[in-house]
Parts: sequence; C-alpha cells; structure tokens
Amino acid sequence: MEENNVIELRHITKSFPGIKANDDITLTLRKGEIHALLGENGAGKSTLMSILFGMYEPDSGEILVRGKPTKIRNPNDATAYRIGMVHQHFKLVGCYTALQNIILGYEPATKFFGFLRPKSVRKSLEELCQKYKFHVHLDMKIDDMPVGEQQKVEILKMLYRKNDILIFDEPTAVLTPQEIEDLMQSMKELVKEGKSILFISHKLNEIMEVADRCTILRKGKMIATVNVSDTNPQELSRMMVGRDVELVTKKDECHPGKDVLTIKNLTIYDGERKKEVVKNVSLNVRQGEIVCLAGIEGNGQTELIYGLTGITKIKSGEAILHDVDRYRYLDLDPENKEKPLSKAWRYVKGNVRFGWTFIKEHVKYFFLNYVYRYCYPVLASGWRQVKRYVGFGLDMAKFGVSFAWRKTKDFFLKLFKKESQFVAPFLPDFAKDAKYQFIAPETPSHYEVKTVELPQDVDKQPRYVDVHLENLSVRQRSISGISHIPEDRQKYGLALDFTLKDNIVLQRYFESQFQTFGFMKEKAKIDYSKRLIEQYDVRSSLGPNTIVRSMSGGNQQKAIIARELDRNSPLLIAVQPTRGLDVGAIESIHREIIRQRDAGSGVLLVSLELDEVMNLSDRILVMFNGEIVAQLDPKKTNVNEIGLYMSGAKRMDMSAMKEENGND
Amino acid sequence: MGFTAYDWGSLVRYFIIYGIGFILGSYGGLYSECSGIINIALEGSMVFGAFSGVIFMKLLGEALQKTNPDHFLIATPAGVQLFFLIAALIAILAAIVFSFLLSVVSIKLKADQTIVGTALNTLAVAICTIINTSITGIDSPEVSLGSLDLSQQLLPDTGNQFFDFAFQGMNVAILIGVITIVLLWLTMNKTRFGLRLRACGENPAAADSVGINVNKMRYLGTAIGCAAAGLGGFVIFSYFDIFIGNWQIDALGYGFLVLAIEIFGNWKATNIIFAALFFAFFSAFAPVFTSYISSFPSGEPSIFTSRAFYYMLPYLLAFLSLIFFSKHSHAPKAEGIPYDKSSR
Amino acid sequence: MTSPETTKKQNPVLAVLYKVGGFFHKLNGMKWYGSLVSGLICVVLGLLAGFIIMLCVDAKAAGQGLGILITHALSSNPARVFYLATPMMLSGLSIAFSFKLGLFNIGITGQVTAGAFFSLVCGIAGANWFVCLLVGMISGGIMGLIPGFLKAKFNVNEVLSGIMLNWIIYYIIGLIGLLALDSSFKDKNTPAELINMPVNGRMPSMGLTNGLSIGLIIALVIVVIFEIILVKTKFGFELKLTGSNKFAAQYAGMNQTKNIVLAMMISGALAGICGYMLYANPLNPSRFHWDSSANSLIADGFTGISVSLIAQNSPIGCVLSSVLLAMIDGAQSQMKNASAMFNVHYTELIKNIIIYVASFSAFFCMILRYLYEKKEEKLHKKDINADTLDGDDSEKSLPAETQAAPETKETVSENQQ
Repeated sequence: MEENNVIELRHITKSFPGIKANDDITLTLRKGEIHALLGENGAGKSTLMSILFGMYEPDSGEILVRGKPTKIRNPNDATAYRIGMVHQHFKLVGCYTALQNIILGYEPATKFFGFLRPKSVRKSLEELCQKYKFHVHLDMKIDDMPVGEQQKVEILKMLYRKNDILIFDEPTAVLTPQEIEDLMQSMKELVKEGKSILFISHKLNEIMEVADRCTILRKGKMIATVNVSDTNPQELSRMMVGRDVELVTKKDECHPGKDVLTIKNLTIYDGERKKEVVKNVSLNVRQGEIVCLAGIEGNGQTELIYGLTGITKIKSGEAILHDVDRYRYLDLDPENKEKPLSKAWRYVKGNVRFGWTFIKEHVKYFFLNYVYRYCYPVLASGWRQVKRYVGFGLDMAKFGVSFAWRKTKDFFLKLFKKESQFVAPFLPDFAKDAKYQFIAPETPSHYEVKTVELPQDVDKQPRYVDVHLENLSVRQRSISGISHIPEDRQKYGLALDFTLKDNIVLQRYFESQFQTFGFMKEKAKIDYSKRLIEQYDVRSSLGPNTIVRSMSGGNQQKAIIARELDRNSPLLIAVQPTRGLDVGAIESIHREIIRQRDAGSGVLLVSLELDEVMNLSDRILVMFNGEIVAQLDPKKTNVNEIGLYMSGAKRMDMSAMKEENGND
Repeated sequence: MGFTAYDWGSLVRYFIIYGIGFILGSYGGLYSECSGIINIALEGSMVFGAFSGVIFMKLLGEALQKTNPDHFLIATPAGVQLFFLIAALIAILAAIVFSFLLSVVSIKLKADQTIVGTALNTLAVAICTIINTSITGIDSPEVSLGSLDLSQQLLPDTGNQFFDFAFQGMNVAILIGVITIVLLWLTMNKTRFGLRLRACGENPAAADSVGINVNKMRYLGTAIGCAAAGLGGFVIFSYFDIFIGNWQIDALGYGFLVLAIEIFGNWKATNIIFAALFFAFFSAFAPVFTSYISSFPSGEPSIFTSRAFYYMLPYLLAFLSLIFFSKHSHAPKAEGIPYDKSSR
Repeated sequence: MTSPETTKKQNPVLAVLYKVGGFFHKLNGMKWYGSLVSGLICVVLGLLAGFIIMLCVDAKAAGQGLGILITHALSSNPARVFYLATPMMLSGLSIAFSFKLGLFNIGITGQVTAGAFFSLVCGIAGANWFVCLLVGMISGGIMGLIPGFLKAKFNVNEVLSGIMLNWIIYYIIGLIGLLALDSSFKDKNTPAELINMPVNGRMPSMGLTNGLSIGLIIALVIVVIFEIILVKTKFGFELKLTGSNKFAAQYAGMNQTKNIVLAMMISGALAGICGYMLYANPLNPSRFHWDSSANSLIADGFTGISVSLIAQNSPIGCVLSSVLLAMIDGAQSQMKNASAMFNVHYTELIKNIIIYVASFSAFFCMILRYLYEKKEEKLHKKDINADTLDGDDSEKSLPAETQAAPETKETVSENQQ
C-alpha cells in the first residue's frame, strides 16, 4: 500500500499575511490514479499545488515523493522528481513553435557549443502524438494555435520530460466541450500507462467522470477524501460549499422598461490575436433589469465591454444608447420657466432700481449729516460707503461678465454644433443660481431624436435620444450615460498611487462642480468624496486622503462602485464586480447593483461565477466563442443548462431570441 | 576629376568598417533586449570598449617602445596584428565589466533601465576621460598614440589601386569582428543558449517554469551585448582614429544609431545585418562623398555640397525609419520589466 | 487608539514624534520627504564615489579636493552659483515635466540647441531680450512637439526619436549657419561660431553687476507655475494620472494624444528658454559653435536629466539640485589647487555618478517606504492591542507595555555579560 503512494503531503500548512491558505492538509496520490482536488475559488487548491511544484515552501508539514521525504524548492526539483504541471495560464512562449516550447529547458543539443538538434526529438514527439491522438502541429507558432492545442503542447512538454506525476490546474476552464472530452480521454489513457494525475477543478461532472478519488478543500482546510464511485455530485457539492442552500441575495421582481442599450451586429477585431473576438453580437438592455453575460473566460465578453466603453475600437455594427437627453438641461418645472431675456431684464431692472435708491438715500444721508454734523459722519461711515459702492460695481461687473459669457458660449456652441452636447456640462456655470438653464441649439449628428408617446404637457416631458456610440471617445461615451465597473480594478479602475478623493472624482473631475477654468476645486472634491465614502461605507485609514494602494481589495472595489453608481447613469456595465472579494463585500456590492436596477438603470453584468449569474440576473445571455448562443430566464433554467451553452454544446436559435425581445 | 579608384576604395573600406561595427553594436542591443533588458548604454559600451583597447595599446606600446623599440609586437606586421588581437580581447573584457553596471542595477535594484542606460552613456565618457588624464596627464578627453606607429599592413601590396585602398591597413580586429558576428548569429538562432535567451525576453515566467534561471540569462545577455558593442566600438575607432593618431573619447552617437538599426531589423538577427549594412552605406558615403566634393573648386555653398548634410543623412534615415517601422515592430514582450519571481 | 493625549501623558518626546509623524502622515505616503532623503542619498553616494576615486589618484589631496568641491563655489562667488544654476534649473524642470507623464524627453539637447541658436540669431539681428526669449521658447517647443507627436500618433519610442533629432538639429544648424547666415553673424576668425549675444539681447541685469539677472526670477516664477499646474489644475491632474497609470487614464477618457503632445511641447519650451539663458548672461555670455571638430552636442541638456533625477521630478527639488550641481560646476576650475592630478573632468565624473545613483533612487524610496510602512504597522498593532485590552483592564494595558520594553533590554544585557 505504502509503495503505491507516489506523493504524500502530510499536514501541510501555509499562511500568507492575513490569510491561512492551507491549514493542515494531508493528501495521498496513488500510482495510476486520477485524484481530483475539489474546492471553490480561494479554497487553497492552487497554493497547495504551488507548494508541490516548488513555487512556495510550506510553513510546516512534509512532502513524500515515492515514499521518500523530500524538499521541493523550485520547479527544477519538481522536474527532477518527475513531477510535471499544466498551469491554468499556460507557460508557453508565444512566438516560439510548439517544438521549441516543448524542448525549451531540456534541449537536445550537441556537446560542442550547444547546437540544437531538434530532429532527434521530433520523431519521438510525433510518436507520442499518435499514441495519445494529439493533433499538434509541431512547427506552428503558439500564438496561432487554438487554446486546446496549446494545452496539448503543455501535456507534451510533460511527457517529453518523462514526468509520471502530472498536475492539471483547472485544465477545462478554457476549453470547448469537444476539447474537454479529448482531454478526459487522454487523461484516462495516461493513467493506463502507469502515470498518476492530480486534477484540480471545481466542476463536479468532470470529477465524476474521470476521477478515482477526490479530496475536498474548503477555506484552506481539508474536508475529506472520498472515493468518487461511493459518492454523488450533491454530496460533493455540499462538502465543497459547506452548506446546502446557496446564498441568495433578496431582490424584487424586475419591471423592465424601455431599452437603454441596443447592440446590433457588433464585431470587434483583435489586431494582436488576428481574429474576430466578438462576432456579430446583438443584444439589448432595458431599464430596470440586470442582463448577465455568462461564459467561460476568453469568449469575447471582455472585448465586447471594451468595445462598448471605447477602450478598443469597434470594427462594425452599431451600439446605441437610449437616454433622456441630459444635455438639454431642460427645465422640468414649468412654474420656474422664464424666457432668458425677461430674466436678464429683471436682473437689470433690479439692479437699476437698487442703484437708484442707493444713490438717493446716500446723497440724502450724506448731505444731512454733512450739514448737521460736519465731517464726522463722513469719517464714520466712509468705509462702509466705499464698500457698498464697490459692491455695487462688482455686482454690475458680475452681471456683465456672466451675460457676456453666456452669449459667447451660445455663439461658440452654435459654431460647434457637433460637440455642443459634450462641451456644455463642463463650461463654468456662472448662471448656476439662475432659474433657467441653457438649451442646446440643435441636436448633434450622432443623436437621433426619438419621438416618445406624445405628451400632453410638452414642457414636462423629457426628450429621448439615441446616442450612437460607435465613433465616440471614451469620455463622450461615459458622459452620454455609461457607468463602467472595469474587470481589472487595479489596472483600469484605479490609480493606485493616488488618493481616494482623486480616484472618486476620476470620472467627473472635469465637470464644472470640480473645476473652473481648469483649476481643480479641492474642497468640492473632498466634500464629494466624503459624501460617497459615508454613503457607500468605503473604509480607509485617512478618509479622502488615503492612498488607494493601502486599502483592502473590497474597499477599493467599493470606491469604484461608489464612483460609478453615484453618476446615476442609465446604463451600468459591471464586469466581474466581486472577483476575489470576501462574502461580506460581495453581498454589499450585490445589494448596490440591485438598488441601481430598482432605481431604473439598465445593468449589463459580466460574470464568470455561475452562482452570481443565477443570483443577480433577470435575463442571462450566454457567450461562446465571441457569439451570443443563448438567452435564458434564470427562473426557468439551472446551472447545468447554462453550462451546456457556455461550453458550446448547445445553441439557441438566434432568430427566436430576437423575436422574444421584440415582444417585450 | 571623377570618382576615382581611391574614392571607391575608401568607400568600400568605410563600408566594411561601419558595417561590422554597426552589426556588432546592434547585436549587442539584440542580445540584451532579447534577454529582457533595454540597453541604451550601447554608446557607453562602445566608448568604454574602444577606450580600454586603445589605452591598452598605447600604454603597452609605449612601454615596449621605451625598453625595446624592435619588439615584435610593435615592429613586425604579424606582431602588430597579435597586438590588435589582444587589445580587442581587452576591449571585450572591459565592456563585460561595464555591462554589470547596467545589469546589476536593473535586475537587483529594479531601476528604470532607460535612465540607467542614459546615465551610463555619459558616465562612460567621464570615466574614460578621468582614467585617460590620470594616466597620461593630458587634460583633454582624447587619447593620443603619440609616436607609436601601428599602421602595419596586414595584406601585401597588390598593385591594384582600388584593392589596396579598400583592404590594406585592415587590422585583425575586423577579422575578429566578422568571426564574432558569425558566432553571435549562430548562437542566437541555432543553439540552446539562444533559444533560452529569447524565451527570457518573451515570457520569463515560462522560462522560469522549465527551470531556466531568468536573471542569470539576463546577466549573460547584457554581458554579451555590451561585449559585442565594445568590440564594435573598438573596430570602428581603432581603425579610423588609431591611424589619425588620436581619438576623441566619444562614440559620435553610433550607439544610438545601432538602437534604431535594431528596431529597423525588427529584433531578428538576420534582418539586423541588412539594416546595419544599409546604414553603414550612408555612414560611409558621408565622409567619402564630402571629400570627393571638396576636391572641386568651391563655388557657392549649397546643401548638397555641405558636409553637414551628408553627415546628417544616416540620422535622418534612422529617424524616418523609426516613424515607419515602430508600428510594425515586435519588441520582446517582457523587455524592460524586471522579473519578479513571486509574481509567477 | 494612540491619540495625542495618551502619548503626551506617557512621554513628551514621543508625543512630539507622533505629531511630526502625523504631519508627514498627512503628506501621505512619504511623498516628498522620502524623495528628499533619497535625493540626498544620491548626492552623498555620488560625492563619496568621487572622493574614493580622488583617494585612488591622490590620497593626500583628496580631502581638500572634496572640500573645494562642496564649499568653494558658494564661499567665493555665490552669485555665480546662482547664474550657473538658472539654465540647469530650467532644463531640469523640462525633464521633470516630461517625466510626470512617464516620458523621457532625451531630445532636450536638441531643444536646448535649437532654442539657443534661434534666439541668438534673433538677438544678433537686433531683437530685444524678451523677443529672443520667446523665440527660444517657441523653437524649443517645436522641437519638443515632434517626438511628442510621433509618440502619440505612431508610438515611436521618444528616447530614440529624441536622440536622432538631437543630431539632426545639430547638423541642420550647421547647414543654416553655412548657407543662410551672412558673415555679420559669425565670428571672423572661426566661421563656425556665432558672435556673442549683443547687449540688448541679453537678459536685463536689473542693476546688478555680479551676473545675476532677471533669468533667475523667470526660472523661479516658472517653478511656481509648474507647481501650481501640477497641484491645482485639471491638466496637472491628468498629467500625473497618465504618468502613474495610463490604463486608468484611458478608462477615465483622458485625451492621451493631447496630453502627450502638450507635455512634450511645454517640456521643449522650457528647454528652449534654458538654451536662450545659456548664451544670454549679462556678464559673460558664452559662444555658440556648431561645427567643432568634436561633433559634440551641447551637454547642458543632459545636465537637466541629472537635476531632475536628483530632484525626483519635483519642481522645488529642481531648484535645490540645480544649485547643488552648480556648486560642483563652480568648483571646476579650483580643483587644481588641491592637487595637480585633479582636473576639470572630476566634476563631470561626480555629476555622472550622481545621475547613475539617482537612476535607482526609486530603490531607496522603496526601502524608505518599506521601513515607514513597517513602523506604521507596528504602531497599528499597538493600537489594536491597546483597543482590545482597553475593555479588560484599561489601567494596566499601556503602562505594562512601556514598562516591559526596558526590562527586556536589561535582561538581554545581563545575558550578554
């Protein structure tokens, strides 16, 4: 029995600052078995495998390889013990051919000068390919290969090094169903050859299919090791999650309104990978609904969102945002409606009247006092008089300037019709306390005015417009009404070395409430960020002045969410908003997103976590290989069905989908 | 007067010298950048390598001259060539030492490689000047060979004017240069080392996972790079300036030109050779053509008769090629990013 | 929490320290005093390296040499230090401005050269000083615009295009000097040299006779404007953000092309002013030559890199570091007094070592930040301990800790004995 154990991990403990990744884990891998390692994200699977592969050293515990206690300090040691690993993110050099990648590090070479002799290996590699039915083009560059083939190259790499303990780190996360099927077959084949496989996954059906035994981890602790034939998926699932019922965020029934976003036949071309990553996608998002884009990572969701928000370019197709025309600054209260000129006239009249009485009174006062009390009153009231005269002058000047400014603004806006909608909100607003607001002269070319149900009182009704997003800049799109919670919060979402207040105003620092004539208003910034910090419970050591880098991941994400939600955009795009966060933070973020939906925004959520998809969404769109393959109702579907669509095994009729949308 | 055999001969001569110097220099850049280190310090390496070689020849040569004027190293043709060979090796060694100023700081201390490189370029000139003045006592940044005459011919007179002008007086450093170029090309494209080196610049995490010591490869890549550039500097300056008798300690911006050549050659060893020869032609063309022009009786000065225009040509071409080729270039992906093991 | 009150009760020194710490804490993440310290480290290391080299060359005179290097310039002629520092300050500001965006304006040499040449030509043609300054600024700005535009539109590496442009402008000036300028502009003896800036083109000396002029004031005003732009304005905010994280800048919809071009243009304009000031000193303006045998570029642009690196790209730091480098420069001619072996190139060497050390000053910053954070963590831990213990027995908790420390020290010393 003992000799059968090729790997024994005994009481492995490893902790990182603030978290115990592995806590007293014991695991044995027998010769010729497929041993699954099951656990949720963050359960400590990858850490454990990194320890086994020599990337981390355990704090305590020991590793036995083939019965002998060993210390694995680096990947080289691991290879010396014939342990090989297929990493979740492949460790391949993109511009090398498959053959070069396979031999890298263990090259067949002449003794003199180390000239490469790839021919000697090629034959044996081709034999391996035939044996395991791998269709790998040895002379093709990795960059040109599909993901499945890349994985085969990784497996060949291990076989070439004659490894007989193989670790697969979530190998199916990036594969299509056929590729998964192939992989399962070759895994079984490999085990027959006497190799042992450690297989990390959080997908139960795969484990049920291939694994002999399964070890379950939860929050760094080992729960159990079971024979797969003695158990069932439900039991495994319970052990993995640790509870029967899944956490469900409460939410009301959704009452979708009008379309907020319509995408028609959108195609995005990736110049680096030289292929279309988003193909002909059409979808719509309505007010008050959460539409979820589900799919396996790398199926075009990220690129779709980048194309939508303007970070990358769209090749063809349309993306239209339907919104209240916020840039018209319509005065919605008819009682305060007043013609600009009459307002100005009243202003002038008021000032003139004031000026006249002012002068009259002062002349009287001055003469009376001068006559009766000589110079004394002059001296006494001199300062006050001067102040009032100056004040009057300033008033007149202020009026003149604001009037002239308005006129020039109008003039220039008329001149640059196309940009007017975007310029208007950022001009310094002198007439802020005036009751009327500026009305833009004409609709710009990328706006399509839509006639809504004809209102009885025209003044009260907002105008709806279609904003064609395709050729707008990121800034124009964002102020047209898109809030974007980006996928990579540390790369796109935040400037980590900047303070919290700077990050909170990142999307609106150019608005007139935060700047005049290009000068930032520090106080407005602080007040605003203080409000958001309080409202969204963003915790930090120094409040608005905290450097964001020093904040925890959850609070960083909360800051982004506060920033994006507070803009009350008609469309919220959230890409994996809860990735890598703890349960408390996830819950509060879910709550905020639902609140935004209830307030009437359309939400487009991209998530890789099926739980989150099922929890939050009102409608599920499944993306596969750059296309939308299904539209599902979360109430009528289950995780397995979504999984089928996600993996491309099933596909809905697109025309049916469109009809369904049309009926709404 | 036309374009005489003398002119053709010197054109070929300049072309060969510049060609070999530029290929060596840009291979220097290639090796460092393929390993993942941006090497702006090529100019410094060229200066430092050339200076070490030249100052070595000066010191040893003068010492020999004093003790024994007929010593074979300075008096016989074969001896002089051996002398050049040793000096070239000294240049290579010195440049390797110099390379650690760049690699240690950028690998260990994770400094900004562009800035380090720029600092090293000026530092190299300063160091060489100081060493020169403290050895020779001359208070100017130039190395003078004084009475030492090393213009021994490698090849015998053939009587063919063109051939004599083109190839005579070539020293063995050029031969070493050619051999080094061949070796470097082979190493980069055909050997285990080259495969590993490029992997370190493209995807250090992948290289690390198959047991390649990324930082070691980077040290090696930078060392080889600087050595090649140092030899390139020695080839160019030992050839032209040794015979003039003194050399201003300066690489005349060739160190930056080779960087442009590298982009022009798209980080591929074979393409770089052609790119380097292209620039070498224009660099050779400038002095030859201006001396050809100056042989005419001078009339009104114009752009096409002025020296500055022809000297500007290689830089102008490099500049334009930068504009056109920068978009299509594929620099090593991990270039300039210090490799952090914990992030794997 | 260790509020000031509790610490005051314990130990007045500690209280003061906490207050000072709090002040720096408010400045956030050690931004400027970390930079100051690491800048000083660079200077000290540079001087130390220079000292060691001097020791190797002439051990006896090394100390005196170092003394002269540091003190001579200020003690003999302070005004000279400041008028040497003025153009350096501007070139340092120029580099710092481009660094704020994460660009490295190595084309500064070409910009300085262009600014100097064109302003000199204008001055010799009879323009007054202000026109000359404007011309210098504009020509420098145009030279800065080119690499900026190429960077933004074609993604050309600004370092390489800058270097190429340095040489191109150098030869173009040679061409202009040869073809376009008549002999009244040039020196009679050496035709590749412009004559001195005439008096009306030099900077007004404001009644001073020691070489100081309005240039220093202009430079200081620019420092203030620079600081205001960075701290107060939208443009500065965008600049800093793009330099810090260009993806976030893209996400926030900042106009990168505009920012890059504008920043490089401003950087070039500052370099152009520097070029003008180099040749327009009221006391003894230097000569501009373009076709010397050495084919050498004006080195003052590169000095700007060291100024800015030592100053860690802070405008006020640029003032300090340029004065420091001017002090070293000012001592150049006096080095010989210490030993015949020391020549003018020693100051160059020391300056270059300082740049080299400054290029990894980020490393010092990192270490300082690490130490700082560790201290913070300790304080934080103490706070937590105090908080948790507070509930149980508030009287014991804090004194117990403070008493415990000396005890352990004593036991350690006893063990050692």
